[in-house]
Amino acid sequence: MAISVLMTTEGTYPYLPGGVSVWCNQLVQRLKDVQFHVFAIVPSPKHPLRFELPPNVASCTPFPLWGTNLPGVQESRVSTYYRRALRTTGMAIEQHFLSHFVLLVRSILVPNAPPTDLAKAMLALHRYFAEYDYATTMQSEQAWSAFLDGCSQWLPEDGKLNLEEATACMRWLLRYLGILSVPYPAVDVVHSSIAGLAGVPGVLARLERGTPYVLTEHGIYFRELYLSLAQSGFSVNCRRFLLGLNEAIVRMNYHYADLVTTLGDFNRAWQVRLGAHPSKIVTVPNGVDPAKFFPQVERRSPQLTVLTLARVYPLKGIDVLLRAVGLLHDRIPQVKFRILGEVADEAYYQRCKAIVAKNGIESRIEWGETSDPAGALAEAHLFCLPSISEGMPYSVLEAMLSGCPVVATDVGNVASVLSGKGVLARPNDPVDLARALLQVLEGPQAAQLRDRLASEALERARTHFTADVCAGNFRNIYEELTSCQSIRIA
Amino acid sequence: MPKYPNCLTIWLDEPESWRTPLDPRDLAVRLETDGVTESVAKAEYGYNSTYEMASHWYPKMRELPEAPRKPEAAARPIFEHLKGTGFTMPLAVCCIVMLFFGFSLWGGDLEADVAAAVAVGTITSFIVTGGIVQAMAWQGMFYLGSADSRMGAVTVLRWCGYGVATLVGSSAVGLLLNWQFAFLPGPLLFLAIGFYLALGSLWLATGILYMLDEHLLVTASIAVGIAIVIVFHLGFTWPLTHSQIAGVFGATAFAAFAGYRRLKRRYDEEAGRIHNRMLTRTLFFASPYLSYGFLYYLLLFGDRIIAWTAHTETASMPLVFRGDYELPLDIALLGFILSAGWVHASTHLFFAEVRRHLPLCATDSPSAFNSHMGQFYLIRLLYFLPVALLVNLVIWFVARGTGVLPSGGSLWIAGIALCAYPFLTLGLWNVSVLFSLALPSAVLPAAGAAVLLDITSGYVLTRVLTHEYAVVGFLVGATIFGLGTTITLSRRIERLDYYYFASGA
Amino acid sequence: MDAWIEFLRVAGAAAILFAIGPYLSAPGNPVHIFIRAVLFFEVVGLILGSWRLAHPGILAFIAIGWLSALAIFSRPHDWLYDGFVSKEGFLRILIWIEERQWRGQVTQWSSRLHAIRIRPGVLLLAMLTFTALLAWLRFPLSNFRFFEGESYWRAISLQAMLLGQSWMPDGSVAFLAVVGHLAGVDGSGVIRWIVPLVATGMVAAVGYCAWCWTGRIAPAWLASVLYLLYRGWIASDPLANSAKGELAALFWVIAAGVFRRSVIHAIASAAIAIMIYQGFPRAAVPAFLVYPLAIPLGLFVEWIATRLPEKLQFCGAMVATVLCCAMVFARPHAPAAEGPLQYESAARVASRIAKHRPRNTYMIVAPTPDLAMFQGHGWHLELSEFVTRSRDWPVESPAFRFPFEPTETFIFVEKEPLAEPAISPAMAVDTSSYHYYTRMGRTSLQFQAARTMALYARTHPATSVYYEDDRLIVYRAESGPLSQSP
Repeated sequence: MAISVLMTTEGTYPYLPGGVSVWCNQLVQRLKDVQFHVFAIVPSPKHPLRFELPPNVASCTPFPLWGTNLPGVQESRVSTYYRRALRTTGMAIEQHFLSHFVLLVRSILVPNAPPTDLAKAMLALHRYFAEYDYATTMQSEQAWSAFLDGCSQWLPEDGKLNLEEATACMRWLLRYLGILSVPYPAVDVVHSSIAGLAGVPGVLARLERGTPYVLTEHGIYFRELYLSLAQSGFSVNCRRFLLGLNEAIVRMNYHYADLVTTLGDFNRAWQVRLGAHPSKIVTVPNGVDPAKFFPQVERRSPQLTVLTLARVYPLKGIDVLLRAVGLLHDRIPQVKFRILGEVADEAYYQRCKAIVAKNGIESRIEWGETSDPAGALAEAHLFCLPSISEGMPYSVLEAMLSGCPVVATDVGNVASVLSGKGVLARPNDPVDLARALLQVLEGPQAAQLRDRLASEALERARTHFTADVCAGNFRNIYEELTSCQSIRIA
Repeated sequence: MPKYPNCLTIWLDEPESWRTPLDPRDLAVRLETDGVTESVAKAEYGYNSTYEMASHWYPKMRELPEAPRKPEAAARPIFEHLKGTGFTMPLAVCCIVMLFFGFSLWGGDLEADVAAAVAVGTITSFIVTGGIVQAMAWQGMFYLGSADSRMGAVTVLRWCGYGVATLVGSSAVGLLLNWQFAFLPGPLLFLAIGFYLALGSLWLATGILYMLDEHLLVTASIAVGIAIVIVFHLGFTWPLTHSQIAGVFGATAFAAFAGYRRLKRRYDEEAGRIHNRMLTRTLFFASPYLSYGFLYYLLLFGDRIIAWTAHTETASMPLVFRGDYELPLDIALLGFILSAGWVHASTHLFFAEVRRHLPLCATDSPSAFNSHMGQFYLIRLLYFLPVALLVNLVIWFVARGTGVLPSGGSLWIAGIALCAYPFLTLGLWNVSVLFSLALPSAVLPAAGAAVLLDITSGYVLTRVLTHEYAVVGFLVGATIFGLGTTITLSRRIERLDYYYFASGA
Repeated sequence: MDAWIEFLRVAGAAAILFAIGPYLSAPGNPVHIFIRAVLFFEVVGLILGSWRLAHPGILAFIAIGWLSALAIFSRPHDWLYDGFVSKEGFLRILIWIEERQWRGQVTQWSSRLHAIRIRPGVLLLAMLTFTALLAWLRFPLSNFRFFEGESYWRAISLQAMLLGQSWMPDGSVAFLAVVGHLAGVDGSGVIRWIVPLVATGMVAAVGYCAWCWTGRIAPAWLASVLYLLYRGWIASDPLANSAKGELAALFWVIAAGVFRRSVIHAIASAAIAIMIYQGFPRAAVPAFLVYPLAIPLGLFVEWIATRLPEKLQFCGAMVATVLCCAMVFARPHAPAAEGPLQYESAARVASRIAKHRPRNTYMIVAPTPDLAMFQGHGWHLELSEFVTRSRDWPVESPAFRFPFEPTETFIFVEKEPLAEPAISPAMAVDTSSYHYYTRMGRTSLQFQAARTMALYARTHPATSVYYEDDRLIVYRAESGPLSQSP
C-alpha cells in the first residue's frame, strides 16, 4: 500500500513562490507512489495555485491566517459553522476550553516552559474544536479575560503588556491558533517544511495517533522571525510576545519531531541552539533536476554577463550587489549584470534603482523576470547571489548544475554547498563582494578560474545535489519511519 | 572593516530604525546579517563565535531605548464634521434645485395621484436597496481593507448584481400583487415601477462611490441627472416624470461608470484568487446588515405610507399623496442634514480616543479604560442632544416666521419631526460605533422595536384620529431607536476592551 | 372566464388559509387544523372588525402571521408547537437550503398529502363531493344576484369589514374577510362563491361525521349520498344562498364528527357555530336526520359487501357513486326566475362597472340591493331619492348637469319593473324604500326615472346608454360640481 504523507507548508507551496515551494514541488512530482495531502498555511485566501498538482496529491487544503471575516477553519457550508456555533455556549467554554487555554497562554508567556505543556494544551484544544466553534470560543469574553489575567500574572513587571499591546497580541493568537480547528487526515507520516505553525499538525498527529513526524527546515524559521521583527514597527513587548509564542512552537516541534532534516552545518547549529536534539538531526541537502539544468556552452552570451536570479526584496541583498557594481564598474567595463526576479518589495526596488542612478550604472544593469532560469544560466558567464540570509538556495545549485561558476555571500549553508568550488564574500559588505567579483572577472586568469570552478562545482552538484538524490533520501525516510528501521541517507 | 558592525551603531545614526534586541540570539542574527560570520567574529573581533559576541554585547544593547512612536495626528472635529456632512451634499443639491426650478431629480409639482405613484416608487426603492447597500459596503470595505483588492472589486459588483436582481424580481412580485389587490391603476403602477427601478439602481451605483469615499462623484452624478431632467423637461418639453426617470437613469449610468472604473483599477492591482463564492455563506454573514438597512429605511419612511393610506375610503386609490404632510417633513430634514456630519465626526473622535487611551491602561485594570470611554461617550451624547434640539428649534421658528409652512397643522408636524430627528441622529451614531465594533446584530432589536412601535402607534393614531398623527409614530420610533441603541452601546462600552479586541479579529 | 377566475381565487384563498398552509407547516389531522384556523380568524376578525381596525393590511398581515406562527411552532403539542424561530429552526432552514433538501421537498410534501391515505372508500367520497361542487358551481356562475335579503346584508357587511369601515360584528363574515383580502375579491364575490363551497363542505362533513362514529366507509358514503340527494332533489330552495344557518350547520356537523377523537376540537367547532348563529340552525336538522337511515343501512350494505369479492365491492360502490353523481347533474338546471330583489343583469352590470372603474370616481343610482355589488368602491344614490330630487331639477336645460361629486353617473332604470320583490325589514332603511316593495310603487318609480332620463338624454348628447336589454336600461351621464344648482 502507498505511503500517505501530510505535507504542511507555511507561506510557500503551492500558493506562493520560493525555494521551499520548489523543493515541495519536486518532492511531490518525483515521489509518484507516495500519496500526499497538502496543508498550506497562507497569508490570505486570495493567493492562487502556483503549481500544478500531480495526481498523487490527494488533497490540498489552504488555511488563510488573515483576510477572512472569521478566524479558524473556513467551513464551505454555513450550516456546519452555525451548528457548531450554537453548540458553543458559555458553559461549554467554561467547562471544556478555559483550563486548556490558560495552560497554553502560560506556555507562551513563561520563558522555557516545557514544550510538553504547550503540546498538551494544543491537543486538548484541537479535540475541543472538533466539536465546538473556533471563532465563537476564541472571540468570547472568557477567552479574552483569561488572556488578560495570564498577562497580568505571568509577565515580568518590566515586560507587562498594556491594553493596546494585549489587544494586538490576542488578535495574533486568535489567528494563529486557528490551526487547531482544522481536521487533519489520518496519514502514515506528517512532513512539515518549517518548524513554525505548520509543524503543529505534526505534533498533534504524533500525540493523537502516534504518526511519525518529520521536520525539514530550509531557512531557520526562528532566525527569519528575528529579522522580520527587527524591521517591524511593533513595540518591544509585542515583539517579545511574538517571539515567545513562536519559540514555544519551535521548541515543541523539535521536541516531538522524530526526525529533523537540515541542509547543512549552519542550520544544524541553530537547530541545536533552539532545542533540537543532535541525534535527531540528519543532513539532507536540496536537489535540482539535472535534465533541466545542464551546461550549454554554445548558448553563452558574447558579452561577459553576471547573472543574479532572485526575487527583489531586502534579504536577497540586491542593493549590496549594486553598490559593489558601483565600486568595480570602471575596472570591468565590459561586464553586464542581469538581475532577474519578481519584484516582491516595490519600495526596496525603488531604493535599488536609486542606487543605480546614483552610481551611473544604468547601462550595466538589466532588470527583468524569466520563466526560463536554465536558459538564463546558459547565457551567463557567472552567477552571483548577494543574499543576506539563506538556507540552501536553489539558485546556487541550479548554477552549479548549469556549469556556471558561483560567487555568493557566506550565509546559511552556501559555504557547505560550494565547499570551495566557488567564491565566497561577506554578507552585507559591498567592498568584499566587489573583491570576490573581481577575482573571477578581472585579469588574464579570470576565465581559467571560472572554468575550473564551474567544472568542479558541476561534479559536486551531480553527486550530491540532484533532485533524484533528494527525493530518494526522503523516500527512504518515509519508508523507514513507517517501518521503524534506521534511516539511510544518500 | 568598521570598528563595530552596523547593527551595533545604528542607534546612533538612525535612531528611528533602532529596535532593542530581545535576546542574545536576536543580536546574533543581526550580526550575521551584517557579515559577522563565525570566522569573522573569531578573526576580527576575538570571539569564539557570533553567538558569544552577541551575548557579550546584549546587556549593553538592551538598555538602549527605541525612538518613541510618532503620535497619531490630532483629531480635527470640524473637518470631520464637514466631511460627514458631505454625505448629505447630494440631498442638499436636490433641495437647492427644487427651490429654483420647482422640481428636482425626483419630486416636483405633480398631480396628487402621480405624486402618490412617484412617492411609492421612491420609498420602496430606499427600503429594498437600503440593506443591500449596507451589506455591499461592509463586505467591500472588508476586502479592500485586507489588501484583497480583486476580491473587494468582485464582491461589490456581485452585490450590485444581487441588488438589480432583487429590484427586478420584486417589481415582478409587485406587478402580481397589484393585479391581485389593485393598489394602483395601470399607468400609475408603471410609473411607480419606473421610479422604483431607476432610483434603486441609483442607490446601488452611488453606494459603490460612497464605499470608495468618492463623495464628490456622488454629487456630480446627481448633478448630471438633474441636468438631464432640465434638458428634457424644459428643453424638449417632456413630461416631468418621464424626464426625471431619464435623469435618474443618466445619473445611475454616470455613477456606475465611475464606480466601475475605480473598481477595475482595484481589480487590476493584483492577481488574487476569487474565493468565497457560496451565496448562502455571503447572505448569512451579511444578514444583519441587510436587515438593518431594511429596518432603517422603513423607520425613516414608514410614517409617510401610514399617513398617505389613512382615511382614503373616499379617494380613488388606497394611497393618497399628502403635500401637507410631506412639506413639513422636508423642512425638518434640514435639521437632519445639519446634524449628519456630527455622526461621522463623533465616530472618528470616539475611536481616536480609544486608540489614544488604550496604551495608557494596564491589562489588570481594563475597567479604567472602559469607564473612561463611557464618560467620553456620555459627554458627547449630553453635548449633542440639547444642541441639536436647539438648532432644530431655530429652524422651526425660521420656518414659521418666513411662512414657508402654510398652516398650523404643518407647523405642528414639522415641530414633532424636528424633535424626532435628533434621536434618529443619535441612533445613527450609536449604530456607526456598533458597526465599527463588528456588532451589527446588536442594533437589530432596537431598530426592530422602533419600526414596530412606529408603525403600530402611527397606524392606530391615524385610523382613530387624522393622518397628521403619523408623525407621532415617527417620533416614537425615532426615540426608541435612539434610546434603544444608546442602551445597547452603553452596555457594550462597559466591556469596550473586549469588544474592541473582538472587532479587529 | 372572469367568473371562473374569481371562483379560483376565493377557493384558493380559503384552501391556503384554512387547510394547505397550516397543514404543510405542521401536519396533523387536517380537520383539526381546519377548525383551528377558522377559529383563529373568526376570533381575530370579530375583535378587530368591531374596533374599526379591520383594515385589509392588518387582516392580511394576520393571515401571514398565522401561517408564520404555525411554522414557528412545531410538534408535539396540538395547539402549540416547539420553537422553530429559535436558532435550531433556523439551522434546519440552512441545512435544507445548502444540502439541497428542497429538491426532495416535493416528494416530502406529496408524501404528507398521501398520509391522508386515499383509500378506495375515501376516493368515492371525494368523487361525490367534487361532483356536488361542480354541479352547484353552475348556480353562482349563472346567478350574480342573491335570493334573500340577508345575503345582501351579509355582502354589504363583509365589504364594510374589508374596507375597515364601521361594522356590526357578525360571525358569519368575520373569517371570510381574510379570504376576501387574500383573494382580492369584493364582499359580494366572496359570498357568492363561498356558498357552493359551504354546501359541498356539508356533503363531505356529513360523511366524515358518520365515518368518525362508525369507523366504516359504507355508512359514511351512504350518509353523504342521502344528504346530497336531499339537497339536490328534495330541498326546495336552490342552494347557494345559504343563510348563516347553513354555515353554522357545517360546523355543528364537524363538531359532532370530531367529538369522538378530540373533545377540545369539537368544542372549538361548536364555538365557531355559535359565533356564526346564536342558536341551533334548522339547516343542520336534515344533516343529522340522515344518520338514523344511513348508519344502519350502511352497516348492512357493508356486511353484504364483505361477502362479495373485493373487486366486486369496489365496482359496485363505484357504479353507485357514478349513478348518484349522474342524478345530481341530471337535476334540471332551470334558470331561476328573475328577482326577487334584483334583476340578474342589474347585478352583472353593477359588478362590471365596479371592476372597470377606479374607486370613488362614479355614482350608481339604483335600488339598495344593487349596492351590494359595489359597496365601498363607488358612490350610491337610492333611485327613489334620485327621482324625488329630480323633480326640482331643470333636466331639460343643456347647461344642467347632475350635481354629484363623481364625474360619471350610471342610472339603472327597469323597463319592466320587478314582479314580486321580497319584503325584508333589513332592506327598509327609509320610507322611500317602500317604493321598491309594492308593485304600484315600483312601477311609478321606474316610470318617473325613465322619463327623467329620457328628457335628460335628449338635451345632453354626452349621455349614453351603457347597457340595455328587455328588462333593464342603464344610462351613463356626465356629472360633477359644474352644475346649475337648483
